[in-house]
Amino acid sequence: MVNPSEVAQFTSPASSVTPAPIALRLRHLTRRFGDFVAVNNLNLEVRRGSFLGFLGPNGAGKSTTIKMVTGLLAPSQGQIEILDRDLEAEPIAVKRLIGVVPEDLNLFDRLTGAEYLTFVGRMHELERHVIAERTAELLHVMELEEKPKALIIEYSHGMRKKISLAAALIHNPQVLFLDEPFEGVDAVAARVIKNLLERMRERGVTIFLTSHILEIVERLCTDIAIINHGRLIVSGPLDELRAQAGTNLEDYFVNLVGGERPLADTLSWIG
Amino acid sequence: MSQLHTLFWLRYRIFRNSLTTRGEMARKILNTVLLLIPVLLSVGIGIGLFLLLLFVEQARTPIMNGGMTTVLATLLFLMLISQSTGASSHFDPSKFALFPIKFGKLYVLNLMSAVGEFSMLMVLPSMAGMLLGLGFAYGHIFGGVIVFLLALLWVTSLFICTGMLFAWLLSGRKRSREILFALLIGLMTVGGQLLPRFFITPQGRGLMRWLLPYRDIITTVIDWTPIGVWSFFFRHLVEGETATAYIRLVLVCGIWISLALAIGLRLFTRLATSPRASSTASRVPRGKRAAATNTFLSFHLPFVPGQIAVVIAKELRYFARNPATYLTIISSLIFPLLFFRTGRSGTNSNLWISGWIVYVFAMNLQYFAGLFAYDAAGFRLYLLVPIRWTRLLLGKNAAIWLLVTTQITLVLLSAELLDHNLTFEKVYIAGCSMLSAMAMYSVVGNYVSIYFPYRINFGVPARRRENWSGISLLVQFALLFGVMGLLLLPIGAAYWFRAPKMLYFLFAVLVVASWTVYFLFLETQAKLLAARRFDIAETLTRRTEKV
Ligand SMILES: Nc1ncnc2c1ncn2[C@@H]1O[C@H](COP(=O)(O)OP(=O)(O)O)[C@@H](O)[C@H]1O
Ligand SMILES: [Mg+2]
Repeated sequence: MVNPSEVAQFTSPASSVTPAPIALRLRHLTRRFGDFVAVNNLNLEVRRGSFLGFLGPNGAGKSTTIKMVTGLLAPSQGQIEILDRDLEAEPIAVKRLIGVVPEDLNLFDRLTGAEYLTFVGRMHELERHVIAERTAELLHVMELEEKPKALIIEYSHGMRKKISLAAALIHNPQVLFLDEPFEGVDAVAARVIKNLLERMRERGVTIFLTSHILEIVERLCTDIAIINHGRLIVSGPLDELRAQAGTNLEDYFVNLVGGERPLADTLSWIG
Repeated sequence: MSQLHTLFWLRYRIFRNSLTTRGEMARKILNTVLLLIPVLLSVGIGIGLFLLLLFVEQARTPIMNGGMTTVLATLLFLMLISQSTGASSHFDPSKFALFPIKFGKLYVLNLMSAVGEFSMLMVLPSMAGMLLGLGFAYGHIFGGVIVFLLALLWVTSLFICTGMLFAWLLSGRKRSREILFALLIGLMTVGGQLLPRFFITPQGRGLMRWLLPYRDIITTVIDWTPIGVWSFFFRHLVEGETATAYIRLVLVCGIWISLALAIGLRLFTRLATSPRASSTASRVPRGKRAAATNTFLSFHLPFVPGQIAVVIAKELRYFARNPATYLTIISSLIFPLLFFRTGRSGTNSNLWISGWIVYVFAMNLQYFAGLFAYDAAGFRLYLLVPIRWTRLLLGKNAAIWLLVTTQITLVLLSAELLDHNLTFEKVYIAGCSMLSAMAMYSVVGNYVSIYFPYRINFGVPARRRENWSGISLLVQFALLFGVMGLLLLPIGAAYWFRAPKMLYFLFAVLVVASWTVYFLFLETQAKLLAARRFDIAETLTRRTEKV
């Protein structure tokens, strides 16, 4: 799946002569809510063309990180660079390069799916015929064309995820950020999304995906980063991590983020 | 803990938890203080009525014989109108569908908490003043108290009943029901305005003359309604027919109150289990999908950047799908149409024209001052797409300009159709007033929208304004009167100096000046919007708890 020499470059960029281009670079990224530190001094580099699984338990700070990186939340501290552009300094240029499916979607509830995609396409200043073609194709691929008159507010949860993903793709982004794209999505829709993501990776799009489910990350990703209590614990190519963890990656993950609690004497009234 | 106790504890807890920050606390206190002013006013009116009845003998008979019925009808009408747009704090039955609690119990709680509602607080003091006042004045203290208690029960059950009706109309996100709702409210508003005027027209007088022989029947019918029975009660009480008075009172109140309670309870239980979303859209067969992508949102405007055009298109789409818009259009048309039709010319009619233009703007104030109110989570999209904030503001403002221009054009056109007396002077003044008001409203409205963003839920049961701020209310009032004052300046000056030509010149100056101000501020406002974008997104998407 992954070229071993590329992996080596990622883990030790200093050793290579021509460093691989970096799609995303986070430096000292921190976010505080009052006294609570949700993301704590995060340093991360994501190689161009890789598929990063950003893994962590509930409340680890994944969504907070992705919101800061995509410009939906102000960092308390730190820098964000996407394809060598600083988010703070060149927000408009960065937004042309990225596609985002945020945690709490960003939909206009009272538009139809086609209207919403047209809106996003025109916001990205695409040509009229390009928007029409891509809208039709996206609606088809996402299997959303059956109810063209339905407003987004009438969509089911899975349909909302899919229309949000479609909108994130319409302008051909170089880097794609997905916050829990499979959460609450049925098996059929999940398959559609998975196939799509794999195809995008093959075409060289960098993908940053968060999940709290190891299995998804294990199946799709080339690289992995694990966050807990706002701190980055591990990051690197998935293959290396596997080698390090031995056979059972799940045990490794659970151990890393806090271990198991004994179930024996809890919920004693049940039964 | 008993269920009842638990429910009130829940209310209290949620309220306490909503005061998380000091700013939040200050906002709530300020809002309460601002709401207190009208409530105190209404209490004052109630006390005034009470004292009037107690000490001025001449006032008693007219109030007892007809005045009270009219006042009560008006009050109830106003209550219903405010109920359709305002907040309601009833327990939402659907939130309790999973718990083992009787809906009847919740319903009784809702009846009890209705007494604290703002629109009820506006109505109750006047009612108390009149009913207790009459009772005390005629020496029937017990009768007055009983009448008031029954009236209280009636008003609360009506309030809950109509509240449930509105909630039911707006539930299920059905567009047809939402439009029906808007038309209903619109008709009520319009009817309330038209009816009194109708009776002073020749046709209205004719109708009254025709109805004269039936006056007794009409009075009898009214005596059987819960707004007329109070008058019946006091008339008979004063004449010493105590038994008749009480029997009729209990009978009429019993019938109407149980009717309102039963309908309310029915709707309440139905709401508890009704599906939240029901799709109105039909499926189309595969293969017919190409047409769907050619949407209204692809519309282009000459010389206007595509990003601005699509923001305008999106806003227009939202206006068209928003029941509130129809309500606004109806109300902004009806008043000017009734009063704009002045055949006179000169200073007086100029004043009227500017006045009604200002009125139309006042009707549309919520759009100017709540630029992002309906966007909700969609606001986040603006953070994710490469659009400059100036363009966003321009597009959003331009859509409102179109909406207002349409309304004012409609007013002028219908006035012309009815009276054929639209002169160049009138059109010029109307146009200039409109243009300058537009610019000024946009400047102030943008600031309010950026500093005090709030969300208006679109088509959900309680159409409440979340995060509504008292300060923004104050600013909006200032805007209303400020613009009015500015528009009066040219008219006043022309009148003062007896130089009609000056009017044209001064109005042109006003237009140029206000648009210069608009464009001077636009860049600053865009910067401000960029700086406050995270706060606005947070305010618009924050989940507010309501039980
Ligand atoms: N707006 C906020 N205010 C206060 N705390 C927040 C806010 N957003 C997130 N948090 C806290 O930050 C932590 C990380 O949240 P999040 O990034 O959403 O976690 P996840 O990894 O599950 O996506 C959580 O403990 C959450 O409670
Ligand atoms: Mg999350």
